[in-house]
Amino acid sequence: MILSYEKPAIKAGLIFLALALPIIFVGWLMQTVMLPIVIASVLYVLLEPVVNWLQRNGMHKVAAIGIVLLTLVAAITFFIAYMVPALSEQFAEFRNRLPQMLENFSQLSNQIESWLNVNFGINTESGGLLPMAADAVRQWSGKLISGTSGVLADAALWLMLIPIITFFFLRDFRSLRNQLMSLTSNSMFEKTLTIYHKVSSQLEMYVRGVMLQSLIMAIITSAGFAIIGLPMAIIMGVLAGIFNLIPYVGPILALIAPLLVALSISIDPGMLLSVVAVIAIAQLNDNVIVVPTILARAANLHPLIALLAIIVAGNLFGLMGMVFALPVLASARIIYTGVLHELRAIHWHAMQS
Amino acid sequence: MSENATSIPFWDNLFRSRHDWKYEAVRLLADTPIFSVVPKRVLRSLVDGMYHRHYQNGEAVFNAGDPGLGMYLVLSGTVAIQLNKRKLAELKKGDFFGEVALFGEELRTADAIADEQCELLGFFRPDLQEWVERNPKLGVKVLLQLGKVLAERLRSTNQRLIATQES
Repeated sequence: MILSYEKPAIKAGLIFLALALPIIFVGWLMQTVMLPIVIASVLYVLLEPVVNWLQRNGMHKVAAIGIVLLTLVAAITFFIAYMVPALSEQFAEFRNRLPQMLENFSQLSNQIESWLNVNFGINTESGGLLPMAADAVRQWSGKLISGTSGVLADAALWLMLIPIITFFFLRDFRSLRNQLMSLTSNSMFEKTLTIYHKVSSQLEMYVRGVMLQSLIMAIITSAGFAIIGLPMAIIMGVLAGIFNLIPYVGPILALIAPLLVALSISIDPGMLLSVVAVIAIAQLNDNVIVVPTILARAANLHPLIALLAIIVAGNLFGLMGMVFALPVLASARIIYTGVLHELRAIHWHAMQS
Repeated sequence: MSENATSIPFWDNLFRSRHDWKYEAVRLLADTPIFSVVPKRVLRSLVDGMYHRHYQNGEAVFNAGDPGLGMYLVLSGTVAIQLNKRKLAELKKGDFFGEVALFGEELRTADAIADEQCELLGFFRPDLQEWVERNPKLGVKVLLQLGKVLAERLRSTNQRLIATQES
């Protein structure tokens, strides 16, 4: 009896690999345009309900898509025209403050070292943990600045590509999906369609939930940072919102940049505690209100597996890997269990007859 | 699926023309009690989102116990509805089956087997839900029609049950 369950499990694993490998290969071939495609997919998920709403009110599909995308492009233009100068001012300020931040960080690490030395007799002078941490912060800050200018260079290409890809997704996704489904054999057609709908509805729920969650996080932290008088409050809030896309690890990453900014002013424990308090309040709101109401059951994974997946994906694919680790893992699980369920049913029927 | 059935290679589906069957599908759908309330213009866009499938003689469309996802309309050929190898009904061009699955994830209660080479049009629960959300006024009419069809089938089953009990 145990054997009857083992066999389908192995078969399901092999089928799953046979499905996953071509997808990974296509992903590898398309890696240069992968990011715009992923962003367009997220926009598709976010904008489709609006297009549906316009259609429900009697508008033609192409007209509805056109209006939605034009509004989006107008909003982005508005953002660039009004927000980017303010953000770049804040970014320039961040760049100017960086040496001071690092200096203050070194001072702080020296103070902690001497405190450790005096109170516990721990000597960290030669190659200890704190100088290493200071070096890591210095390298990280350098990467942040050089990396951001690289991202800005790519942004021009993305700004052209993303609305075009999103337009075609919104217009033709359904017929593309149907054409792909027509390739499945008759015996697997309904099963494939069932698994597809389960995966797509869970992914849609996850993407919409996470984007809303990040927006709420960005608004709360921006407001909080502005109230406590932290410089570059908006950029720090936006960063906290972006980092919140990464479950578990995000809140810790969200702390680094505002703490560095706070350190750039002075080594004021009050300001440092206020920054931690703002993030803590935002996280409390996130965990008590937002996650249970918006994201409940969206990923449906054990926290330990989720955490390990995020760390491994982050190591392999960087920030993007961390953001997409959970939805990819959740989808993989649905596909695997769907295939396994089907194979068990076939096996059971075979045993009965 | 019976042993003599041969499955269609997937590339056959890839190169099949997508338009020649659509006019016929719209005409047949408009004649069904469920979709008779939908204007042909809307039916054309609805058919665009449906699944056009080909089955060989003896091939199973679905089997009893499979989780049901939606209904099929026969565009050509014949489909036998059977339970434990006993034929319950034979469906021809313009007939539809499996509509109970449009309401929930119930298991199929009988086998649907292609009696000869046939062409079917599949319409499934997630697509119905999405379409109703986009066209609520027409959606309500279609759901009412669907309710009428199911009520009619329940009535006829009850009558047959009573007749069986009386005889």
